[in-house]
Amino acid sequence: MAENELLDLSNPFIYRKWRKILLSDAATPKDAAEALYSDFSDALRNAIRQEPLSRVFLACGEDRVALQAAVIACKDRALARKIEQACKIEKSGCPDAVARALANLLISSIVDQCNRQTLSLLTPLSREGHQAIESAALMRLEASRQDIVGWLSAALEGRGSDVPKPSRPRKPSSDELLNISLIPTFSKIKKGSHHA
Amino acid sequence: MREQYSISVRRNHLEISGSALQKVHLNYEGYFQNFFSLPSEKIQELVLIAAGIYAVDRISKKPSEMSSPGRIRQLHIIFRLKFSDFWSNKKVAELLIEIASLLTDDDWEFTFTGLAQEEKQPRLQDYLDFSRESFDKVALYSGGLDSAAGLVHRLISNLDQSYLLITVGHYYGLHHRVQKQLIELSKLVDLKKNEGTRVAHSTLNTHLRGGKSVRMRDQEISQRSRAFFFCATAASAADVFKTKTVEIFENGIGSINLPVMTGMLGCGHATRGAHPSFLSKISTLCSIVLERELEFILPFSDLTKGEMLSSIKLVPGIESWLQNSLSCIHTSLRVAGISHCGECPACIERIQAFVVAGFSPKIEKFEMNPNGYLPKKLNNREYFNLYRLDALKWQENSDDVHRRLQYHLAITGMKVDELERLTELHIRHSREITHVFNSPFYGG
Repeated sequence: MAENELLDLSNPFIYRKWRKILLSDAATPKDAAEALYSDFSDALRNAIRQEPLSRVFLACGEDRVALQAAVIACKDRALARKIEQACKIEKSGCPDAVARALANLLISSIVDQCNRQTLSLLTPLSREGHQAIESAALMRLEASRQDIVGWLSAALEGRGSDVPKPSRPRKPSSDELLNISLIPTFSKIKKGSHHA
Repeated sequence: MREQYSISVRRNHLEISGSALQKVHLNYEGYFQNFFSLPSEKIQELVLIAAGIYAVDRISKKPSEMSSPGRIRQLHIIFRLKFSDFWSNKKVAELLIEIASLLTDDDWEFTFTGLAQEEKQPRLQDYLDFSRESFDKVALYSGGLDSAAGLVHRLISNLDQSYLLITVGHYYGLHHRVQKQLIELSKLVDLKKNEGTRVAHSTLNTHLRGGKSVRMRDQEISQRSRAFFFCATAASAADVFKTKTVEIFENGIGSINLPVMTGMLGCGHATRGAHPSFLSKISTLCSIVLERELEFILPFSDLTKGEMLSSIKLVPGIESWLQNSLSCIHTSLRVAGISHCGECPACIERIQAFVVAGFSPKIEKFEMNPNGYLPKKLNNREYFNLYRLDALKWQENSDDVHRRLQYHLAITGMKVDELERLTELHIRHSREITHVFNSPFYGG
């Protein structure tokens, strides 16, 4: 019964750099995977530090009303729902076990997103070419699985603030600053003056 | 943001007020007229509750993924009903919430209040006790390919059986389409041989009036709760004719509906309208309401759509009759002579099943060229690519698809002992996909 199936479009910002690198001629799938992991881990750590995820985890063992309230209290309800799913998969109240299931769900979701976008962006694509991109993304995420499980475990135990802050965007060098176009800023000023 | 709706029942329509105003017309009398009998008042109220949930699901749009990751709606409905105490019972109320939540992945809350004394008269007058037809089986019938193939399969393999088919006419023209289909079916030679074989049909027509019904873009497109409305309607027929089961003609792949991406496992991305867990819950609820056992069953849960069609391919005239079924998710393409878009997931599966059975798909917009087939719309193309990639992965015995199936079963509350059977079914289905559409990659 395939009716109005909606693809998971996820957060497009996580894949922005990955897509850009994938489309450039010079870069390799490994470079793209590195950028993907960097953006994914930043987004995940941000969510872990900001969202009351331990409340969702604790509510999974309680009644439906408590769980609904805990999910609604989160801004990223997709992530909150994934905790609920991980609890159902693991059938356990152990934070480490649920964190492992949650990491599996997140890693699989990211790889599936990569597949969706690769098949659209790069046509025609050979099976070997696709496998190289998919396995580079999977291998990079797998290499940091321990970190991801550790962060998620901390989040479920209510220690989300202990998770290291995401890396700040690098400040542009003076050379890069000189090359930044002023036209967009100028057009904004013009728009502002028009309203005034 | 929490939305609150209040639903009261008038003679042949529901009036919705609160976060939105909406009238929902139900051709209740016309539906029961075909039975010459009324079901119990409680099951009538279950149909009204299900219709109310469906209407609210349709008029309340889900937020976008960007503005609200997870796209969860919080919906509270207050129903004014005669048997409010019964519906407020903890077990019944919880079942209603579980069913609505399983189908839509939203947060539902229901409150039931009683009727004023003057409203307590029966809504419909019962029929005189004339002798009336009886039926051995009740089945849901949508006019789709699975319904059509399933019905023929049941009629030729269960000789001398009488079927009452139930349709919920949730869009214009569905009743006439199904009637025409069944008239054509009665002319097929194999079915005329058995005098005991009998098929009757009744439609509960319904439509929204005013409010959000004016523009399609104001409505939620997923409308996942409609399966609840369909099943509740069929249960009312099962009550009249005292059948123990309601059959749902859906293939095994379609009923499980394993999403093509892990991120689609929740948040209402994929339909669960014929999912075994939903059918188990609706069976429990209807059994409580009817105070006897009623089971919703999937007679074709071990077959793919292609295998369902293959099993009836020797019936003379069946190919051209099946062409009259409608699979496309677009109820009306508003182009004369075009009934299928040829590229939505439902059309893709229709094409595949026809080719597997050795029939011609005959979809107006579908054309297979030597380089294969690619839908034109981006979202359809992406779905189609992932559908074919999954097929390859099943054949390569990749961990991804096995893990996703396990997760899907756990999240939807299915038993693990179904895993082996479903794995086999998906592998067979994957071979059909590759055979018909090839792989998504260059060079095969």
